[in-house]
Amino acid sequence: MIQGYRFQKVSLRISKSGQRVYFNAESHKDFSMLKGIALSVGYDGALFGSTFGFRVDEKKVLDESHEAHLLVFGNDVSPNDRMLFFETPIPIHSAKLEGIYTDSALQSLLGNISYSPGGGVIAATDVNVKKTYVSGKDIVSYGNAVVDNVPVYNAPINIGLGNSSMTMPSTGASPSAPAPVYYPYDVKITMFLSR
Amino acid sequence: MKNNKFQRIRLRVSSAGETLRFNAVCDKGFRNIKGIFVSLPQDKAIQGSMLGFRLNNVEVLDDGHEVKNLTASNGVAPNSKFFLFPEKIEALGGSIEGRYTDGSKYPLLVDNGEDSGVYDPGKVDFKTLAGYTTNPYGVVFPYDVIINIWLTNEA
Amino acid sequence: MTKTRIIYHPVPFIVRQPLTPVTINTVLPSHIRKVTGIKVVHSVGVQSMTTAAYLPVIGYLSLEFNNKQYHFGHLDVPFDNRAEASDAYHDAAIDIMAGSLLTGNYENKVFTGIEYQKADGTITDKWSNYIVTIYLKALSDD
Repeated sequence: MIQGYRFQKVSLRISKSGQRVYFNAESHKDFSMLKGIALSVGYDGALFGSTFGFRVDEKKVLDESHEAHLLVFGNDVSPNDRMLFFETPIPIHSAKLEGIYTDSALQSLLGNISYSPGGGVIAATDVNVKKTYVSGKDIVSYGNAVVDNVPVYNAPINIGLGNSSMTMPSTGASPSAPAPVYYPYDVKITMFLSR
Repeated sequence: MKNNKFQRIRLRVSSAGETLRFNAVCDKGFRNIKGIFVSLPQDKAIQGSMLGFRLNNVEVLDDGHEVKNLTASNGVAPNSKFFLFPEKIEALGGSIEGRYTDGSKYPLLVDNGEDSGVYDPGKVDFKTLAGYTTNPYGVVFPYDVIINIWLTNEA
Repeated sequence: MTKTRIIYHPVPFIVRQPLTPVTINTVLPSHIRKVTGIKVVHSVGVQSMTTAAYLPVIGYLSLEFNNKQYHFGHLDVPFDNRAEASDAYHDAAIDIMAGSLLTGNYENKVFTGIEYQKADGTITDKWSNYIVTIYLKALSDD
């Protein structure tokens, strides 16, 4: 016997700045609805600029540029409100669940100068790397995960590796010191399933 | 006869990464488990800690369930601090088997050959990893975990 | 009736100068039938210009849907670097014409002084480009 709900979880480990990690999983066969999703991330400092895309049966629910911090809920809201709940639950029948987490994805766009001087809408192709939903030559395979081999930065910012904190040497201002990001850190994805 | 009771289970955690198993019996005279609230004396101990339990051998929360989603800060009204189960869970004096895992080892899991990607917590032998005994958040041991289980007779 | 499902569609844009408004002009994916909620957030960048974790307004955004036929109004864009999320969206119920434009303007309201942009228009190193993202909660028929 099982309960009529389940919190299906996937854990990811991010070991480098800028890393992308892809997973796929099958929704638990005894449940027919996906009602919500939430992330938890090892460090607050890792939240901003990191993104999480999510698909169900190859249909996009969250774009790859969806910010991870919008899916992470703090201790100051009621435990029952700590999810992004879908107004229309997503039907699942042993569905293929896919996600892609990219560390510091948006920071790498800040230095992009291909827009008009004032700025402008960032093209989806700049944010979304289509190849990431399939195994490609730039991606190393890892079990049922694929992980980008080398992070590439064009931006004039430097995100510290290891134990150093994030720094932004391109600005002369004294930035608020963001919470440091230590690698590796873990990301847990919790999906709320019901029968 | 009262309609509600907060049954408490107290655990003592004495070292980083410790896993504690516990057993309890729901107070007789209450029909359902309505919710759960885990109280920890140190905020630092919340990150990465996990709590799962089964009731009469049926999984209610899996062992990887994060304590952070079963607790709340003082900014949340007392009645809203409980995680309320999405459905009625029949209690009726049932037996609880649970597992609590301290999370203070959480971020320092380092390269065991599988340092990134998707991992199965059930398959990673944490104890063989370097850094396992390090305590990055400065959690003070021992500390006590209080698990509050909200029992009710309300429909 | 066509079967629809929920989708979250982000439209990120970059702000590169403190004084020049950003023009938003983008075609929404044709499978988006209806927008049911809107949220505008600061994504990254501003944190390197301030020590504050929260600023109630960093700029104003005006948005129009359906090739400028539907004016959604003006929104204040806050900066919030605290690790607290909310699934709250501004409620909306806008039927979207297939392949129509999402248009608008964004006006930056912070860090506009001479120490960020010199009189000759060049940007100083105190300024940091930043990204704001418009999230559309939508029904899709793809």
